[in-house]
Amino acid sequence: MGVASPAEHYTAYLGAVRTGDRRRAFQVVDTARDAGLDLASIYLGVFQPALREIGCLWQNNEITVAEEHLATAITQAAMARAYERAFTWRTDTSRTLIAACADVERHEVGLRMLCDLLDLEGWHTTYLGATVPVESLAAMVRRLRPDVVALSAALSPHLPRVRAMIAAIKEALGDTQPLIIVGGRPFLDDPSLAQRLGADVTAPNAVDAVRLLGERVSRVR
Amino acid sequence: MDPVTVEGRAAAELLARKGSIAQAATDALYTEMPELTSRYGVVGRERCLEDIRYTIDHLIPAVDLAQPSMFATYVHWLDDLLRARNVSTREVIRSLELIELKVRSELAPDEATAVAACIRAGLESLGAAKGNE
Repeated sequence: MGVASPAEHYTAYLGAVRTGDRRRAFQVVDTARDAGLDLASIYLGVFQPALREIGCLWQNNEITVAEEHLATAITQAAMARAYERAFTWRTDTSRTLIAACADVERHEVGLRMLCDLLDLEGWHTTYLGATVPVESLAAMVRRLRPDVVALSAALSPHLPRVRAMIAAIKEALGDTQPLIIVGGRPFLDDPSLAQRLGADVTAPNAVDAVRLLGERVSRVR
Repeated sequence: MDPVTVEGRAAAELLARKGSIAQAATDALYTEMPELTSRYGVVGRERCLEDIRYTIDHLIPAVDLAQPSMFATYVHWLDDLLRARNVSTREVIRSLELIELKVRSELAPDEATAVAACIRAGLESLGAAKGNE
């Protein structure tokens, strides 16, 4: 049996979310897992390109805002399903990360993917999602002292908030700084923005981010 | 936003004046192009105002970070989006020019110049796109 390819599952998945067919979407997930695709391949080879295509379809006025929201909601549920099937209990959760999204309410999927893939690598992740007040985030980082803080921004209007979050974290933690990684479309377009905002690193996708964090943060305590 | 740098000041002023700049640009656009009223109606005018506010939301970080290409990327995306909804590039171009005009009349000269650099990049991205057709 050869290595399973995400492409056919992507096509089926895109068809399912375009029509708002949640059951069909879940079937595609199950089929992909049965075919041997790992979680990272499903996330980056099926879900992420499908959501990008959904975004393009909305931009081209081929689907409505409601249809786009539905596709995202179905994908969040499908991610949970795929994650549950991939999850195994591990004891080596020595590395920790807190993740927050700079948006008010949406665009959380990429960050959720990062946390899920890190969980499978044995990280202990705290996913805060969107709409986290800056001070509240800084207080939590000070209390939990994670190895890494991951911040995401989908659009450039979110960037000032990312910068404020980073500044608040640095002020709260003084000498023992976490590694700060940022991600999202603006950083994909211009990776040099990461350090300009005070972050340490950025990565173009969740898989590269997991690899980078694995290299930068030692497992040994 | 850094209150010391001209970019920081300009971005802060844009944020503070977003409402008045957006309203002025919308009103000026509809005055210049009365056919927009018959084509889009009251609802269309409201949507135009929202769109211009959204555009200023994207202008602010580009100005703050002195990254005109960031705004150009947004403008290109916006133009595609609006053309798919039967709003012409000419209207997008004119609304950007009207934003710049209002900015020049409200902000200090050095701040307005910082903003204009980003708006220029946005306009160029549309000009470049048109050149490819």
